[in-house]
Amino acid sequence: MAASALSADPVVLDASLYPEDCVRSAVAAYQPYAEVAIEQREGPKLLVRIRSKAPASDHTVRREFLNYVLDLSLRQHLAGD
Amino acid sequence: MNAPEASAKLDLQRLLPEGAVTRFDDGALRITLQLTVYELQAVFRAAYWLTEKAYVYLSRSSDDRLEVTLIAKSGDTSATDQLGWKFLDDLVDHQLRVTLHRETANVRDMIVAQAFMDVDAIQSASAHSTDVQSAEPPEAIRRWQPAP
Repeated sequence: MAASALSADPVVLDASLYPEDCVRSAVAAYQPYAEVAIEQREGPKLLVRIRSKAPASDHTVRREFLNYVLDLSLRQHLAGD
Repeated sequence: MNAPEASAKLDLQRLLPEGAVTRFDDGALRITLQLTVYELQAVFRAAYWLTEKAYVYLSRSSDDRLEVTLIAKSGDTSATDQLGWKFLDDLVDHQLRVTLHRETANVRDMIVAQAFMDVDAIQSASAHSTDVQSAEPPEAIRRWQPAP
């Protein structure tokens, strides 16, 4: 089987799971470490392209970005509790 | 038990129902969950605790299905399997918490409201209930007599 979504480029983020403002915040926060941009919107999905600026591989930076945006999204989802 | 045996014992894909788990070439596991069983809040909470040791990605395959893709930060396959099991255990725990949170919401709201009230709402509710019990019973009940 091919590589997982954790290795995919661009990363596809569903807005019902990752709210757009969280994705935008994460993109801004990652600017010092990577070239990150929301490349395209396909309906409720955002396509985010990430290229590492540091010696770390693109995979590692991409995965750290995904954990970071998950953390932001979790806070927003649970804020209403 | 040697390493391959231990690894086989943990293999999520082999041990869970067909289609529930997919393993990818990069070592990641994708676990498919029914949102009718596990709510999004529970999935988020369980995924959050996993991010210390794994990379996690969430996606929707349909309205009622959620996919959780994870890989151990170490990249080790058996570590990924172990974290997959831990995620599933945590998920049950968090789903129970979400359910209990919802079921006890009224009691919690009443206790919080009581904390900010001048009068004792719980006590006065109880007094009201005692008054009702001691009040004269309705005519139909007063006339009723047990069978001889």
